[in-house]
Amino acid sequence: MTPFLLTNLKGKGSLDLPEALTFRTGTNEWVRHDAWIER
Amino acid sequence: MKQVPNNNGRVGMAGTSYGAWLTVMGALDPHPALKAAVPQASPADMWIGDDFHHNGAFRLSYGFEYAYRMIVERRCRTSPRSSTVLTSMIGISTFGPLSNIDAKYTHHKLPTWNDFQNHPDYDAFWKRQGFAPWLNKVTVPMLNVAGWWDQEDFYGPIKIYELLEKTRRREPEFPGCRAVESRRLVAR
Repeated sequence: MTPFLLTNLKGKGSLDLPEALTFRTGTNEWVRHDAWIER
Repeated sequence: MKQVPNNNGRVGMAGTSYGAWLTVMGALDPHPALKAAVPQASPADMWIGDDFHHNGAFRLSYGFEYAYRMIVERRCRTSPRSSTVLTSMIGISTFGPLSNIDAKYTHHKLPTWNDFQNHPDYDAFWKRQGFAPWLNKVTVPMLNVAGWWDQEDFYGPIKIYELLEKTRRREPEFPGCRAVESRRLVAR
C-alpha cells in the first residue's frame, strides 16, 4: 500500500505493481498478472 | 484539509471491511483532492456475496452476532464475544421462526436485525447498497486488496475490480477516465 500512496500522493518512487498480484500459498510465492481474470 | 498543517493538497483514503466500503464510497463522486484510494476487503453487495448473505443464503449466526454486537455491546460495553455466548446459551436452534428473535428477545432494539428479517429477498433495500450501478465513472486511482480466505468480504474486492474494468474497456467513451490505468488488484 505504501508505494501506491507514495506514487499517487507524493510523486515519489515508481510503482512496480502489475495489473493484478496474487499470492499462492501452495508454492509460497507472489504471481504477477497482466490481466485478471487471466485470459 | 485546511485544518491539517503541512499537506500538499493530495488526499488518500484507506480502510478495511466497512472502512473499505466507505473508501470506495468516497471515490464515487470524489472531492477534487482525492488522489488515491485503497479499499481492503470492501463489500460490494451484501446480498449476493458479502457479509450477510452468500448467493442469497442468509448467514444466520454471523448476521445475528453482527447486529447484536453493533447495538447492544456498544451500549453496554460487555465482552466482545457476549453475542456468541448469548446465541450459545439460548441456542439458535431453539429460536424457532426467526421472527421469534425480535418478538421474544431483542424487542425492536436491533434495527439491523429487523432489516435482515424484513428483507429476505434481493429487493430494493439491498440493491441500493450494492456497488454495481455506481462504479462506472470512477477516476480515482484505486488499489483493491482481497483476502483469499476472507469469509465475509472476498466477493467484494473482486467484484469492485471487475466493475471498474468494465469502465476501462469503455474508456474511449469517457476521456476523463485516464486515471483508471492506475487501478490494481492484490489478492493474498
